[in-house]
Amino acid sequence: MADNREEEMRRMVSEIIEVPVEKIGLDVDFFTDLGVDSLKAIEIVAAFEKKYRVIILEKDIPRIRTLRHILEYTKNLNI
Amino acid sequence: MINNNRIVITGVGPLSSIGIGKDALWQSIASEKTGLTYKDFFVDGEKVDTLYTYEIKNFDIHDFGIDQAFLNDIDTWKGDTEWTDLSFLLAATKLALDDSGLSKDLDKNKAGLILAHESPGLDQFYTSIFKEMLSSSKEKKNFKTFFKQFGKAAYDLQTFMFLYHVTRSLDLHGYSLFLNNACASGLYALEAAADVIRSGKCDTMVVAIADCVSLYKASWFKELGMYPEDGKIKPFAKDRKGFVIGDGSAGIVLERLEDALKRKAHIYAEYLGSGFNLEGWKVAIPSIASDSYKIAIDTALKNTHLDKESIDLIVPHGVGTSITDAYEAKTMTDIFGKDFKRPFLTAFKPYIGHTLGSNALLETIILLMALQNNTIPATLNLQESDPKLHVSAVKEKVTTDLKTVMKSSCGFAGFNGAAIFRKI
Repeated sequence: MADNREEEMRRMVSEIIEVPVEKIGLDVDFFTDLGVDSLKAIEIVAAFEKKYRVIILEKDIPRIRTLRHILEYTKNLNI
Repeated sequence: MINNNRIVITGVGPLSSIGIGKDALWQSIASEKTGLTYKDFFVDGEKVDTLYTYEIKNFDIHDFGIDQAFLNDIDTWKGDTEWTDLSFLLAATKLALDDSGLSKDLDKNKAGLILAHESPGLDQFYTSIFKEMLSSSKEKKNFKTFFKQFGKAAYDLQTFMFLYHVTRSLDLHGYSLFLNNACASGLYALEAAADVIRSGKCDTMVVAIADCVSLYKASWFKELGMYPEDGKIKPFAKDRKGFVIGDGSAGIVLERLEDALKRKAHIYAEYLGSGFNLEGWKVAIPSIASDSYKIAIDTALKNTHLDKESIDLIVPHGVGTSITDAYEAKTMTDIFGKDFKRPFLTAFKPYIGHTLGSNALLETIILLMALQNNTIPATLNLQESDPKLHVSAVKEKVTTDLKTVMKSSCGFAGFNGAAIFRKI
């Protein structure tokens, strides 16, 4: 289940930032490693919220920089 | 369209760091003067920070020809509390009324007022509470002492009190409203005022909106990472780093076209209409994935029966932050095309600062002056446009025939709006 969730999110991020899934490692930084700009990062957050029907607190958005951060956030939300 | 539904603007009353009154303001804009200043902020006698701001200088509420009896009455009511917010609103309303030529001939029961302010009276309130926190007074503190000390000042935060003081002082007895739609307040207020006239409730409406610099506001934006250390607002520039806040107040008079023609009033422009959309996502971050801002602008075009080619000039929010400029640029290019040459686009915040609640209305006044003078002021501080945005703001003043112009705004908390004006 956890793997499915991770793969699901990896595919979602890959689609938004137009980078192949194999390049999106758990700890690969969206900004420094993948050249994602702040606009794309916001799109990731919005897509994540829509898909999992959750609200990410505004103050937490700048901290979401890797796939692992998104997964941890999921754990905190118990989804 | 029949004349009694057509609404025009016949008076403007701006107060800004580069001039009080339309002539002083436009003269400064035309000579590319800015009101940027570097200022020490003190609380209770202690220096807390030094920040860039844009300050209205040499303001005295007694200079606007308002009946001294009312000013004295407000002074008495307020006691020790400063009333800068109220005085800016009062001054802007009076300036606009005087400019319209209606001051003496107004049917006061059919003249209404819409005021807006994002945080009226709050700065003074915070300061007094802060002083109390710092005080080493040994006096017993409980609800009674708190109520005695702050009760009256808290009462005065109620926004109806601002309507009360302004309408009373200027003899306006028609329909009135107080609104607050963050940075887009000016556009919402214009539409509300136009609606009041169209409905027949009033013949004349004044809209006045103000805001002023404070350490609290400046600190808030600094905390969000939106304050540029060099003090330069650089809309749509590659090296943009945020904005500097400024004092600002604006008053606009609206009436029916047929009334304005009958009394041979000077008409700045016809207010054609507007469009709005509430994004409803975050407060300080716009949603790139949404088309809320596009909907607002498309709705403005639809409501005014115009196509996008009719717009000669657009003045967007142009706030100079990384994300909001990108959000605006995405919306503009979605509507007008990548690297669009028309409409012209320029931004006014480098001249006067981000004047918060008053910004959309104050920038509308500058836009109306630009329309009148067939001159597009340059976007200052724009050395190099950000190529990723595909938007080219005007870098040097342009002289060209202007007929139909748009002011758009994408405020905090997702208040998106656009208003269209046309020369008559």
